This record gives sequence, structure tokens and C-alpha cells, in this order.
Amino acid sequence: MVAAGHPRFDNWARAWAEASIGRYLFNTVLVVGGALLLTMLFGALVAYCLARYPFPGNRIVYYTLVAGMLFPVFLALVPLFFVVDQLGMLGTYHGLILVYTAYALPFTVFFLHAFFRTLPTAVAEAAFLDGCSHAAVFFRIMLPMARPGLVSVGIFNFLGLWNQYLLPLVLNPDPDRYVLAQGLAFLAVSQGYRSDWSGLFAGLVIAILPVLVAYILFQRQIRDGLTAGAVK
Amino acid sequence: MAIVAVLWQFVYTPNSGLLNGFLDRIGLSTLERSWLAEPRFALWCVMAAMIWSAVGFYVVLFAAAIESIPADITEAALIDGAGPFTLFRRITLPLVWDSVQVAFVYLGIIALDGFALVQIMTVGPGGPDNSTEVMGLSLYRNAFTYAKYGYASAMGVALFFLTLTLTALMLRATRRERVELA
Repeated sequence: MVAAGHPRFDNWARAWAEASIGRYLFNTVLVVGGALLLTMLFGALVAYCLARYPFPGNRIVYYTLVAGMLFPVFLALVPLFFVVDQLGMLGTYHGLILVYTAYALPFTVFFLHAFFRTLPTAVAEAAFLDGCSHAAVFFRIMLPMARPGLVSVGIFNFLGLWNQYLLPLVLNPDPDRYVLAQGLAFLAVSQGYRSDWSGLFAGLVIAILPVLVAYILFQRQIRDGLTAGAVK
Repeated sequence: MAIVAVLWQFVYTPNSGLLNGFLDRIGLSTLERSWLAEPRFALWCVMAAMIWSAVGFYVVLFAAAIESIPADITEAALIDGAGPFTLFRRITLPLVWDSVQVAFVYLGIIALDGFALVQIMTVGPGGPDNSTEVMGLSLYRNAFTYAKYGYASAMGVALFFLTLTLTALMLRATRRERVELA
């Protein structure tokens, strides 16, 4: 074993440019960011309606959505592949974004549903009396009040989607559109004998950093997200 | 998971890996081997990586559960003369049992899906000599390498029912009397 020498930042540059980590990072940010935006928007809307408006079939919709948490990805992997393929979205950004959104929605609805229920009804009622429409109550009253819950579930989804490996492996065969997890695995396997290890490890660090920063900044919210439903 | 897999692959690398380097340093070089290349050890190596990556989550989960136990209960037990071990076995564990149950279910599901680790870490993947072949990998290979889509879908459904059965069994086996905080 050789002791470490002085730090050399050219590894980072090489990882970024030659090993196309920069490209993978861009892909990941685009896909995860888009999916997160859609998930939070749809998740919050659905959860709010289900939590606050009793209507026939309310419970059915809720349980149908939450049942999505029960199914392992493997169950639907092959059919999913064909659905995405026949829609012509295989290896496209929007295809992956839509699949990620569908994948993250059940948990989001489950979590936010519980959260919207804990919010006081009095504020919403006051807003209605003052002549607010339903949409305005949601966007201007309830959504700001639900911010802690939104942050928790958003961070949780971010971490989950960032580390997603199986879905992009199957649905994203185009090397130019690889996400980070895929790209790094590909590099590690294909580099076996060429061994630009310092470059690979610089790439690993680049991939870990955003997640690490998210963990450090949002420890509390992550814990709330992790333990939702598990701890009374 | 993919990053964990790549990192652990380097821990097990024969010539310059962390594990062999460490064994070399502490004078146990007779124990050195090509960890992922020997059928007897490969699966255990993957398991070690999997356990390592899962522990953190459960530390957080259980810590949150233990924190939510009212302090007066632990205090009362201590005054009644309970040692730390008795305290854990008789007070803490029963009160966090719900979380433990949930953990069993989660872990069961994760264990059935060791796909990313095996696919990236092992040679083949699934090797050497099929010693690390997991269900997810079989499914993936049948579908996307051999193009046996129907067969792979059937495997997916079987995997789902297996998960469901296992979950039900685990919930059943770990069922305890409910403890209510007075």
C-alpha cells in the first residue's frame, strides 16, 4: 500500500470531462428535478382533496394509490418496459420523469394525506367565508401551512430518486442520457482493466456530494420522512 | 445503492482492495483472497455490503422510536431496580416492537431485491458459478438479455406473491401483545 500523496484536483477535471460525469450529473438533475416537481404538485393536490373533501369513492381512490407502495418494482418491470417503449418514450427524459413521478406518488400521497389531516380546519373555513375559491384556499392557505410536510417528503423523494438504479437501467438505454448511478456503474464495470481509478473515485464523490449536503441540511425532515407511519 | 456497490467492489479488489490491504497490514496475509471470485465467499461479501448500507436507516428509525418512549417509564423501571439489560429487554424493546415489525417487513422486501448490489459487484453478474444469483437478476436477465418477456413477467408476479407471503408470515411470527402507554 502506498500512502496518499498530496491532493490532485486534475482527477476531478478528468472525471467531469472525459468520463462524462458532468453529463450524467446534468441528466440526473434534469430527470430528478422534473420528477420531483411533478410529484410534489400532483401529490399535494391529490392528498389535499382526499384529506379534506369527503366524496363517494374517496377511500377507494386513496387505497388504490397507497396500494402502489406495496408492489415491488420487479412485479411490473417488464410490462412497464413495454408501456414506455410503445409510447415511444424509451430513453427519453420525459419518459423517465413520468415513470419516476408515478413511482414516487404513492408515498407522497400517503404522507401528505396524513399531514393535511393534522392541519386546523378553522383557517380554511375563515378563508372560505372571506370569499376565497377552492383553488385559492389550496394554493394560498393550505400549501404554505403544509410546508414542513412538503419539505420532508420532497427531500425523501429526492434521495430515493437520486439513488434509483433499476428503473433507469431498464428504461434508459441511451448512454448519452445515463443518470449518475447508471453512469458510475457503467464506468466501474467498463474500466476494470483500464483502471483510471482516481477519476472514477472523483466521480463517486461528485455523485455523493449532493446527497450528503441534503442529508446535512435537512436531517430533521429526513428523519420525519423516514419514520412516517412507522413510529407513532 | 449503485454507489455503494461500486465502492464495495473496490473494498474487495484482490490486489489493491481495502480489505486485503488491511489484512496485509495486520499480518494476516494468509487470509487474503479474491473475495468476489470465490463461490464460497461471494454471496457473503455482497451480504456484508448490504448490511452495511442498511444499518444507518434502522439506527435512525429505532432511535426515533426509542426517543418517543416517555422518560417516566424508563425512570420508574430504573427505580424499581432494573439493570440496563433488563431495561432494554423488558421496557424498551416491547415499546418499540411496532417499529421492529416494520423493520422486518422492509428488510424482507430489500433482501428480495438485492439486484443493484449483485448486478454491479459480482462477476458475471451472478457469478462466480451462479453463487450470487438473486431473483431480481434472473428476472432482469430473462427479460432483457434472453427476451423471454412472458417468463420474466411470471417471475415478477411470483416474486410479488412471495414477498406478500413472507410479509404476512413475518408480521404473524413477530406478533406480540400490544403494549399501551398508560
